[in-house]
Amino acid sequence: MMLVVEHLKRTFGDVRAVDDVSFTVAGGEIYGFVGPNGAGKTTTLKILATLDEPTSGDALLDGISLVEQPERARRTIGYMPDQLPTHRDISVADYLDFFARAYGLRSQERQRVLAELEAFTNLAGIRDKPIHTLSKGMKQRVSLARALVHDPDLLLLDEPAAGLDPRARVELRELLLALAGQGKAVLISSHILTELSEICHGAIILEHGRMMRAGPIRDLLRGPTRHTVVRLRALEAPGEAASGDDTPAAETPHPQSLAREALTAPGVASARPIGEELELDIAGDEAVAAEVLAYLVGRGVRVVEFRLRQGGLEDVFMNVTRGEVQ
Amino acid sequence: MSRQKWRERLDDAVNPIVVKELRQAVHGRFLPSLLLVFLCFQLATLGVYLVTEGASGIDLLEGASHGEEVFGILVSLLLFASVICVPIYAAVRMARERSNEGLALYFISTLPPRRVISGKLASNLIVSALLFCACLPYLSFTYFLRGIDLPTVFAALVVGLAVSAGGILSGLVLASMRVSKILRLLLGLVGLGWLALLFSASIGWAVSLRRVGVASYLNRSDLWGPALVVLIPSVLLCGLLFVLAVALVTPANANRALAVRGYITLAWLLATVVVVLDSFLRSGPGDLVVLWALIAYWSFAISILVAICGRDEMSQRVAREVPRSSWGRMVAFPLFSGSANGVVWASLMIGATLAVNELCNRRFSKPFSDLAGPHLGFCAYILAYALLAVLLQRGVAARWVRRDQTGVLALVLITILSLIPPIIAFLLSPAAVSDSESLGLWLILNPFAVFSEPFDEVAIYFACGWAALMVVLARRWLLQQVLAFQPVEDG
Repeated sequence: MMLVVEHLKRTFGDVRAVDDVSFTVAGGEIYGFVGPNGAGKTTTLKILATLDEPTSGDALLDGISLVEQPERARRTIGYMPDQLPTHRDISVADYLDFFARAYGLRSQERQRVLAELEAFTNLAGIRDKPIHTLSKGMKQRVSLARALVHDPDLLLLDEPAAGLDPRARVELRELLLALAGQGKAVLISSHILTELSEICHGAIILEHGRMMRAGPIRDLLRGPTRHTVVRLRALEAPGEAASGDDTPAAETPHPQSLAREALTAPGVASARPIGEELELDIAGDEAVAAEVLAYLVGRGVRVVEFRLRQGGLEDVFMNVTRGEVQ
Repeated sequence: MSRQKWRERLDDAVNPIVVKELRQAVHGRFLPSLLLVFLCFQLATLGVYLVTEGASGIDLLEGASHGEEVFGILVSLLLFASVICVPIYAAVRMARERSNEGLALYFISTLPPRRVISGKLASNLIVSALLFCACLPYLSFTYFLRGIDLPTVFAALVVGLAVSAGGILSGLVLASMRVSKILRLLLGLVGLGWLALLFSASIGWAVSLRRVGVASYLNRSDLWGPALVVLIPSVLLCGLLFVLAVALVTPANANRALAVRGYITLAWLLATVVVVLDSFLRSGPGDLVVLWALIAYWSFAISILVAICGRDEMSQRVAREVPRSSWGRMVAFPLFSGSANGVVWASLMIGATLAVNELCNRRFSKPFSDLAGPHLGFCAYILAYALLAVLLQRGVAARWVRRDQTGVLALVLITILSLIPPIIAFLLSPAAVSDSESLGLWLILNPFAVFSEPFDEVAIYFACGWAALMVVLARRWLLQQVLAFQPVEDG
């Protein structure tokens, strides 16, 4: 299975919700779809789910155009929206049974698939409950089961972890890894970047509808960065220790004054005290970080620890986006 | 094959939408509430009638019209429930499922649009049928009160169920449109008006059936003529509503106009054969020709306004269906999706209607101006305004008016240009414009001027000239689409 998205554009009047987005996802891969609110994640997922049409561009699923042949492509796409559309007066079992029928599953096959899905998504205990009475987490499970009912090759999940408790998130993560293990391609949009980086093979970063970066996580982490984050711990200067208390001066950190000092260093964009440490956001690479260290030592700061913070998807995201929303 | 296998096959054959809708109807509050209220009303009506009439000392079994009276009340209740309540229920559910906020996900399943609409229709008709079943014992009871025969009861129920189907389909068509909230509200009001019209028409039919008594007509040949005159257009209209609803839930880049235009063309052909035969049998054009021509002119004029809201660019999906032969393309062009295609199709259909209308008139020595002339002028006005709206929307007004709102722009232009000249005339000389006759040429931009003497002829010639001018001005828009109507290259 291969999803190839080519120059996707979607405009609403003057607003470019999706602007020239292109990427590729293969079977067995989980790709994170990240971006601030209004970045165009949901619009892109809706287009890929054939719920919406692009203004221009196309997406090919194993060569089948989602724009020109949506009916054919729908057989292999499972879409889980951020919120399950309101369905009153229908139980979980009836809801899933309806979708199994809608995808043309025959009697015995339908029963087998539904039993497997109920076990896989842990829905057996709530199968007779009306959907509108379920909690958010339970609705998400139902929604995932619905998206899987026809055994799709491509799964599009829009904020699947939103509103889930920590246990449900761990379970969802395990479900997604299991699905990728079955060879399905998973495209997942989420704000919880730490969780995404644990399970994603790659990421697509959007802002203002434009694709800022895309590719495997390791390539993104290795790529050119505009910022370097370091953690710094320093001993208080001897003069500052004369505060009159009994605490030994050499063991008392003074992050606030240290932060003020650090901000005078060339290249330091921000300085944030975190406990006894200071987190410096340096505009530049490791060489600039070394210059900052030399500057601080030169200014008499007694640095005892200066370490680069291990970058993650969160850092990549912060590096390439500006946090502006449309 | 075992019974179990048969049951499974039957279960698989049932439309999934029917299964879902009926399960929801059974578990929901609407249907049980409606059924209970409906039964209570019937029981109360019958009870009150029997008690009051019995108390007044009248022998109920001797009276000749008690059954007729009770039947009238019960049928009105039944028709209200099935022609008003059930279609509204169907439309509200469909509108909710089609809304941008909660678009039902079965629209992106592999269920074809035709099955979605047929499932919706069938499930809501079953709800209507349930109401009819609940009413049947009471209606049958009216037979024992005299004044009504069982065939009349049965005929009224058939008419009621057919009208209910029409109402449900109308509701589905309006609810399938994905429009803004304001337009949705307007469509809702239009729908309510239409349902009220259907309700009053069905009450009228029920009253007529009750008066004439179907049993006395069963063995007479003159029953079927009027019955078919009502039945055939009704069936054709229901078919059109079904095709329209299917087209509306089909993806926008599909060739969804083909089924609609193909259906209307076939229905027009069938109706034309019937009215021409009728004219020959009567040795003169009767009311049927007038009705047929009026429906055709107005429908195709409206079709022009709808067509200009369509796409100018042909999608790859439509292009794949374009015939390879030039003759095939010539036939296919007006029927395929596309704005210019629709305008050409509607214009051709208006031309064909005019031709048949004119042939009928000449054959039976009727003057040309009776019906054809004013309607030719009216359709020319609509074409001219539609092309003007196209030129404005595709040109200067593209920023403010969306392509799918071009029809609305045309209506706005008609309103403004019809009103402004008379207002100017009034401002210039209030005394001189006391009636439409004195307004004279100030009404020349009003499409309805073709229907008011003595300026109707001037208006017709003006409309035709203006339409021809607009066609010339819009030639690039038309030609681009004609030339682009080519099949996809292999590979």
